[in-house]
Amino acid sequence: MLLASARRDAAAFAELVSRYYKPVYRMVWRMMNGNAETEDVAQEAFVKLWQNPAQIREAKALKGWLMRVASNLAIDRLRRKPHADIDAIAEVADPRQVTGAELEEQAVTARVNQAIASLPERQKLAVTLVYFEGMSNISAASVMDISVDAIESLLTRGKRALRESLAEDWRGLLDELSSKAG
Amino acid sequence: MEKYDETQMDAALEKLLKCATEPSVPEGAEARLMLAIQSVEQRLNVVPFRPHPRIQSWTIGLPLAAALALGVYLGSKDTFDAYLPEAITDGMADMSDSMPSTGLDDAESYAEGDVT
Repeated sequence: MLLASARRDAAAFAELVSRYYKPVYRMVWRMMNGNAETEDVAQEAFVKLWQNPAQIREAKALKGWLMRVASNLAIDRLRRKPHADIDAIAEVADPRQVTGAELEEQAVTARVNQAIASLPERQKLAVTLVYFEGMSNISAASVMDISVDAIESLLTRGKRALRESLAEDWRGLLDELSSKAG
Repeated sequence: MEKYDETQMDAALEKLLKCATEPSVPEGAEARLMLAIQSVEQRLNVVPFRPHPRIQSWTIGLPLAAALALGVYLGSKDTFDAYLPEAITDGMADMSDSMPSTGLDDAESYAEGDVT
């Protein structure tokens, strides 16, 4: 497919898009805290691939390459607009008007979203790749172009920061989780 | 929170992270991307190789070899001087030493015992 895309085969490229667009979009969405520019950034990463597919030498490296390019673009975009709308997450996440137990659930979601959004960008990227995209530490390290030790360190710091941000709600959240499970 | 160990905290955190919003791709996003690439030129990383017109090596080598042979031949003949300007040939004649150098006269100054 990669070779076909290199030959301007739009159908093959569409296949690549259908396979990788969702994870790239999700990662960018988290990096940009649900910013409305998420689609632009994800699109830009794929356009870069389309413009220069020869950059990828092995098909198995494609997802990692896309993730790296997209995360770099997202970080660049955030740095240009440092006050990206973190508060917009709740709005994006919860467009429905609901009441009762759902409201409480949404409050938990909002607090978790807020805690993730508050992470420094590299910790957020590490947490996103490993916990949300299910990548191994090795793959995530490759995406971030750092060592496995470095990503483990980022994950440790990220988790610690998340625990601290959620400390006030910790017991409540655990209770809610356990009641949900029950 | 102190009653939880590290593993339990991690497990709890993972559960909490599952509560985070799962972003969904906006409808038509992939189609918009495919439209976008249609207006973008694809750049090739590889510069097309255009071979230079082939020059037979003998077409250069043969004249050079002939010129060299002619030079050697003319140089070995005294008659070649007749083809050169007088300014050069006269100068060369002046520079030539009428007394052949044997090197024996100079040898004395380098003799052992006369090094001071």
